[in-house]
Amino acid sequence: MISQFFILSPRGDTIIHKDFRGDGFPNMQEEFFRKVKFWERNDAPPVIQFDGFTYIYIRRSSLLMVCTTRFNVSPASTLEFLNRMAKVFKDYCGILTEESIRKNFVLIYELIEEMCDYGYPQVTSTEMLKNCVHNEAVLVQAPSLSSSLMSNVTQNTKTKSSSASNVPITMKNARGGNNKNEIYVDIIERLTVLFNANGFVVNSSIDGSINMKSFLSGNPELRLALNEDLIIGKDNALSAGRGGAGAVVLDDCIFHECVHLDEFESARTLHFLPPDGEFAVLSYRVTTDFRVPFKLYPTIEESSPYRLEVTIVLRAEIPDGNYGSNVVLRLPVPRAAVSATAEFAGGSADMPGAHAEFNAAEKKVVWTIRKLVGGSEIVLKAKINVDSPVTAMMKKEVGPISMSFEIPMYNVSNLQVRYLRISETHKSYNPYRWVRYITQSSSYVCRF
Amino acid sequence: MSGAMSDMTIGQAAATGYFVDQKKGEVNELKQLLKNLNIEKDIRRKRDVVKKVIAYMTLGIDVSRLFTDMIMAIETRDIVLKKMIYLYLCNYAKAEPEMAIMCINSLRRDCENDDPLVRGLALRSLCGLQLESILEYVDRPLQKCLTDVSGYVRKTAVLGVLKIYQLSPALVETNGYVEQLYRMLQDPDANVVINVVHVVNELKLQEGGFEITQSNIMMLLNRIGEFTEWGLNTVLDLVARYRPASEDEMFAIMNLLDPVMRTANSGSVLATLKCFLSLSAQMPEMHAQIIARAKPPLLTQITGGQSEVQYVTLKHLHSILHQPFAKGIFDDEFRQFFVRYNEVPHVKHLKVDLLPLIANAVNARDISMELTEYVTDVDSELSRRAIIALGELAIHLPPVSEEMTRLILSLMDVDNAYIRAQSAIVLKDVVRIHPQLSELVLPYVGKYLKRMEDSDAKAGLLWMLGEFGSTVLEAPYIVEQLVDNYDDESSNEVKLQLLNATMKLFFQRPPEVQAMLGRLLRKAVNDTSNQDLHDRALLCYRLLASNIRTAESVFAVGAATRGIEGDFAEKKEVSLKKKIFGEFNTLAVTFGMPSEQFVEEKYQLKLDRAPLSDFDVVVSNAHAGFAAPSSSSAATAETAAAPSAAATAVGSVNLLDWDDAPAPTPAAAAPVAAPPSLVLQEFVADFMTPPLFQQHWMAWADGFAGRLCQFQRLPSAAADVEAVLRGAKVFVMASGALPNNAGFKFFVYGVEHGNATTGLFLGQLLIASATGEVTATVKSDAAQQHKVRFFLDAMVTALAPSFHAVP
Repeated sequence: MISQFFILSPRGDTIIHKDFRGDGFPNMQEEFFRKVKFWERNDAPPVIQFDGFTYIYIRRSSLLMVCTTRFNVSPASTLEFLNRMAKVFKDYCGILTEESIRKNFVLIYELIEEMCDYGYPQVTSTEMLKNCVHNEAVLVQAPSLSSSLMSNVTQNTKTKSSSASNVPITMKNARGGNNKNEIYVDIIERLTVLFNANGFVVNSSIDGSINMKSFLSGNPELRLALNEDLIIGKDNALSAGRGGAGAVVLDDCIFHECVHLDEFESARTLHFLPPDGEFAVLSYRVTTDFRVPFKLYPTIEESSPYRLEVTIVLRAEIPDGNYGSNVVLRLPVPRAAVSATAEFAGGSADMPGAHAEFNAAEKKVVWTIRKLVGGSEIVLKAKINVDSPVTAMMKKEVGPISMSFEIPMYNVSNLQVRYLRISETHKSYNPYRWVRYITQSSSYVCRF
Repeated sequence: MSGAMSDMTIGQAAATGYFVDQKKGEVNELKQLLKNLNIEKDIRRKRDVVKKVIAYMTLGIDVSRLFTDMIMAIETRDIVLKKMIYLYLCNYAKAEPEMAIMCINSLRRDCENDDPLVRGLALRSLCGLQLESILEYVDRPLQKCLTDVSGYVRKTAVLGVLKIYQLSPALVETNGYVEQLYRMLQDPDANVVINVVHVVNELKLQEGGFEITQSNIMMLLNRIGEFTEWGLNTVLDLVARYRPASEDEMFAIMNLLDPVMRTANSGSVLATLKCFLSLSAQMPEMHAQIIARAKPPLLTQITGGQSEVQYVTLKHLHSILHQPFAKGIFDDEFRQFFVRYNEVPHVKHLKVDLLPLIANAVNARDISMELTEYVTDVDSELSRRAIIALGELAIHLPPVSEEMTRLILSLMDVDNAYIRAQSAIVLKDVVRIHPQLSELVLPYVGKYLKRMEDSDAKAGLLWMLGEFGSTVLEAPYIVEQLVDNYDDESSNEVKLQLLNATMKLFFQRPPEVQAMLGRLLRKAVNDTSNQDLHDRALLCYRLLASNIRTAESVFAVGAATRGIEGDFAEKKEVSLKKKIFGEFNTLAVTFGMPSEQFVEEKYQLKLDRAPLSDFDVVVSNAHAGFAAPSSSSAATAETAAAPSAAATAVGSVNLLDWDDAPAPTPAAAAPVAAPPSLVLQEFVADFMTPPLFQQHWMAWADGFAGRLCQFQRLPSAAADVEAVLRGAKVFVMASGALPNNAGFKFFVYGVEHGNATTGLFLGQLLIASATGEVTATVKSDAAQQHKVRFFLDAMVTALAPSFHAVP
């Protein structure tokens, strides 16, 4: 029962506008944008309501995607529908940016027409939409921020650039003429870890998912096998007596609708016909203890009445063969701080790509390390000069340290893809499977 | 749409003002290009021209002038081109109704096209033109498409019926569309079925929506695997309105839906949870188990989902956790609700608000340590909410009340004004509920008051001083300073509280306070800045002047907290929370208010009852013709509404924070006039009928509701109790066993001898077999409320010997 749908640019311009039920009022997009922009503390929730309309919206790539309704709908369902629209647009345009939407607006309108009629969701799966969508995508290049980052990864046939799968699904036959059978599988884990000042883990959890994007021709059935000793549910782990130490215990996992689970209980195998476009085969959650990839040991010292010295020992507890990339540590300093010097102490000073600075506007010290090899230990130092004598309260204002990073080809939960079998037996069928493990920080925080 | 579109022009045109003329030129150029379209052979170039028109349309540039030319281009075989032209048509048809008629024939012809996609597209556009003038042309193609061979066309046609209905309800009603739609529920295409449900739901919005019958529900459930997730969510909404015919059926449905809990769609998870709760509405003992079942997927949505989904799921979890049966279920996962530094603020805030709801004596310390970290966060709102959460722990968890109070006290030393202000307010609330904790706080009140800027906090501290003034040695001197600086105080809130506190102190320590009270009253009475202040000061003065004893009873210490049993009035809004929970998985939960407050009436689905509204009604069917599920639940809806009204009434009195306990009513008057006992009359056949019973039951307020007594010997059958009560001239209207042998339920009545008109007493008895506890609700005519206790006595006296009842 959606009344209108629109996409607004970060500046509030209407990029796409569709009035399903003809009951909107003029300028409603501007009204909405103004409400959101000037919300109290600039923190508008995703569901707001004024003048008889409820606005449910999501932010993706700094675009606002908005549904309006006059009925008492399910907000969760509507948000999921918006998420689905964003996914379909991404599948069809390759990437989801203001430019890709603007360049493909006719295609977007066509998709909207088929996905929603008179405000009721219709067909929303990428492959079903193919039957009734005829416009072709205009390819838009993603802003190449990571190009410098990727340059040090040797380009050979075994690796592919991370943006290789950002291709409109309808163009898979057009890519450079070689019609490859490919499937991309990402095992992504986002970590939430909270340390106290002694380096002890207070709280930790993993939000993981196995994402897939299939360009396989003929859409064959896939079999994805996970660890045989996988246990779902903490209670089950207890009842299993934790016999197999090292068994992977998931608190919970949820599956994509295409997944058949009849062999899951017995063999931890999923089978499914992959839908077109990117999708999460399963998402899972782990709160049992795991080995954290980085450990932090901070200390704070009052070296003079007007100076605080912070020392952080950072240890990479991942195997030698792995590394953390784009490691960034942010340390908030007291409001009274007038200046600060940040550095890498000892042998870590001449690390390549290491950089430390004081951001006076945000009152933060930021260390950046482009590549932190497993097993290494580095020491980060900051000297903070304050404009009045140091008080206990001032010390409390230091921290917490937040850390962000990405670890390629590594995951902490030990959830593994044992195999990915493609049930297509023809000899000439020679599919490529690109499997990546990625560990990312979600909220990686250390308190003083 | 055209209105909205053309109005967009204003903003856009302003931004591109410089180019306006040029655009106009370009529209002319486009007109020229369109004119040549028919001779253009290259399909790509044709498309490009039309695409430009659509681009202008999206930008909000008025291209309605091109209407004629666009219609000329409609005759094309290229579906891409056709789609764009139709999009244009639907956009501008309202602005150009005359011209739109011209394209009707093409659209109708396309409704007969060989390609089902074209047929569907044409029909969608035809119905989407939203022009009354074309209605007569739509009926036939619509009828035809409803029976098309292609599911795609049929599903479009079904929604077409709704579009036509918005233009002319009469046309839909007279042409038998609704009956036809119901027949189409058997359609082989699942998408058609779902659209039928959508359309009927909306056509019949005022009459309860889609008809919920066993056969309809079973038919939909049997095809559950065929629906898209949106279709599934639609079906789940219907199932939540369904009453299972038996326990077996209920469990069968629940087992069928269980796998939905594993899907990634948060809407489906919440919808399934709602189904489970509403299907088992008659088995409240199952609810805790159901919440436990939903716990892992809910947590996964909260920790792993997009921030928007997180927000909505957290809102729903709030609503769940306010239900008594959800207590304790999420306690062990409290760490999942610790905030993450990269979360959006409104998600962080919800998590903090939620932590006290899952706190218990075991995890309270961990939670409080975490909350203390948030207090010093840069986000002041997070900080404020963390302090309130600490206060909640102190208020609701007696084992840690003292520890929490000390913790909040320590925040009063933080070098930050808003932290101190919020802590003071919270301390006042804690002390209001737990007066014994005032000892911890009072020694510092004077110190705090001196450097407090915030007026709410100041008022809170003053209240404590007035309330507990007898134990604070320097209380009068602290107040005196404020009295003397009265003119510098800008907040009326503080001044009002100062008046109250000084009055209260006066009665505790008259010699010290008398002089300053006089000064204060003079200042306040002469204070013309605020009417309330002036009036209250005058009232105080006159009360003191006329009768010092009455004044004391009004301003006595404890008057404010008297009658509040361990909770604040605002927290007692149980019925509101319940009502909102009844609208689970809708916007009502997100906004925290019933849907009628934000959804216009014509968009409201009229239901006999909200799916979860009758949780605590257990219906017995022992006497035929009585308590049919739907009608009895209507009765509870009524009674549920009544206390809420009462609650608001109470709340509004307290809003003034005017510490006047109700004037001592001549309490003796009524009881004295009443006879010392109640004599019930013998059974009179046909005197009481189920409709009459129900009518009174709905109309009357509760005279008594609560625990009656406890049986040490349980009745083996309902008839046992019936016989015993009959001996006491209390007659059973209906009775029955609760599901799962949980106990018995009776509806009873008695009539006062010689007073058949107003002397009627109605009651409901519940005997729980697990504990033997008997709870009762008794209602009577308003004039007879004082006799309710005699009626209760009569029942207890009769029951006691047979079942070893103890109080």
